[in-house]
Amino acid sequence: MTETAVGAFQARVRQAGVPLGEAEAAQILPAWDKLVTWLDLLRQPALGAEAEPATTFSAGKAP
Amino acid sequence: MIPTIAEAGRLIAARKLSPVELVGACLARMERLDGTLHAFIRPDPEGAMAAAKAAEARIMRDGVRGPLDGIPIAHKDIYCTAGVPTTAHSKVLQGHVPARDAVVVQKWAAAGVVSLGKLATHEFAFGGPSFDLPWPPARNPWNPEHFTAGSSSGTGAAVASGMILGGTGSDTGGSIRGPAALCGIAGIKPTYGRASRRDVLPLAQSLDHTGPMAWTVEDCSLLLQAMAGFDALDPASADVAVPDYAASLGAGVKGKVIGLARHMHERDNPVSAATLKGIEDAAALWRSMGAEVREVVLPSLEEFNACGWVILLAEAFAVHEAWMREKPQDYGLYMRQRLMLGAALSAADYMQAQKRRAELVARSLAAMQGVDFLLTASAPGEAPKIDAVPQWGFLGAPGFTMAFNVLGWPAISVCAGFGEGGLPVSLQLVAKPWQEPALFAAAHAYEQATEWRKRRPAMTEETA
Repeated sequence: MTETAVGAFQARVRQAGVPLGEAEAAQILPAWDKLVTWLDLLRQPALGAEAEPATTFSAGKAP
Repeated sequence: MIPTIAEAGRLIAARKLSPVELVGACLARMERLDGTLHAFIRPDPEGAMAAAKAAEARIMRDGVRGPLDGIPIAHKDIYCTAGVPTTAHSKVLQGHVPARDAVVVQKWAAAGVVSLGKLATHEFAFGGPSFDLPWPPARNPWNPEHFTAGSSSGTGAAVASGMILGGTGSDTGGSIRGPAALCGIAGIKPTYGRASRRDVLPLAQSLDHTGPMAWTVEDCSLLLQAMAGFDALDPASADVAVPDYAASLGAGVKGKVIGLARHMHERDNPVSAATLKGIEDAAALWRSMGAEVREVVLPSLEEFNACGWVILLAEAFAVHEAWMREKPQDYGLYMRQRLMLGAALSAADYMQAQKRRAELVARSLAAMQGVDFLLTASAPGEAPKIDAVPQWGFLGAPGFTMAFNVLGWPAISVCAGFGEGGLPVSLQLVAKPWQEPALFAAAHAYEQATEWRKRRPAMTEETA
């Protein structure tokens, strides 16, 4: 992991108002890297997708 | 011999079993075993015995209210209980004493259950197994060196060991079905909106479900009967009539179509040999009962997990935002660091996941056209050792349960045999929304035709 990557992750968390030191950010970074692969997956077109984009889950009834 | 809820209920109704004796036997098991299992974080033996005596007197006078009258249960410690601390197993909420019961707690109390206390959970139903919290994590009755899964860890351990006959769980990504699987019991996550979550501490509101855990499918049906129903003050609750689950429990599977989702447990996340055998044997059994079994292909577990975990992390951080800003060190390490991931997500990330969720629902419904049930694993195999559970396991090989939180479909985990280590393996059966009666009937038929319910953890047999 690079110092830049740790700092970038630390900045994202701090932007949310949560204190996070560099050492703990470095501990979490590998998990964040995995999560980023999922975020990339979610931005790829879904195979066979025909549904209209939803803005929220259907509260009050089954999806 | 530890009775099921159905057996005990019949005996109590016939006045052949005393609720005081039944609760006393459970409390004796608790006293003997819970020093090892840590299923309870707040046992209440005095309160339980007083409630059992009151129930017994009332039953002798008025007869039983129903099949749950006088039955010993307990609640996961995210279910609010009036006047009794509800902490989510966390230092953050130590000293939190709710003013009222959760709706589900009220409903079960009205049915006559006797509560034996509050059960261990992963911190706020997410952070575990953790050894840096005010209470230790629950351990697996089949081998206390092993993991219960979570987050309804205490419920799984307490039911499997016979300290209670049933209990509450909650399921946001598999927290009912995971512990049911590793502890060798039954647990159902009902349809999203089926049972109230009001005054149950939330983890991620668009994925949170309440549901029951018990030794058998039949017992789960009795418990869900008493907890299901519309709650206008739970924004996710659905105003859909609650069927009589017991009435259709013997319906079997003749004419039903079971979709075997092999890709999930053979390719997306290959399961153990014992788990695979359990699934294949169950498919053959249901086929012999008149069901058709055909292969189905849904979106990959990886895609479901990507979608579900991004939503869960973002919504969980929204729940914990204020405390994470003010007192992050009050959380255990696992919970705090998992919430940090949620803090780092953007609104766009969250909306991409919700958009994908709608697509996953549409693709799954299309794949299940003409199919009544989906069959796959609920866990990859037997429980691992509790000290070998990775902190970021949910980001590793994609789990089998999150998919059905994303979809909101009812899903049940039942014991499907035992592995090489002598611990239980399991299968997961899933239905479309509101099809709990058929789901219970299929799972009950399987349970009745197999031997797995005759075997309890050795530590409980010593006290039987």
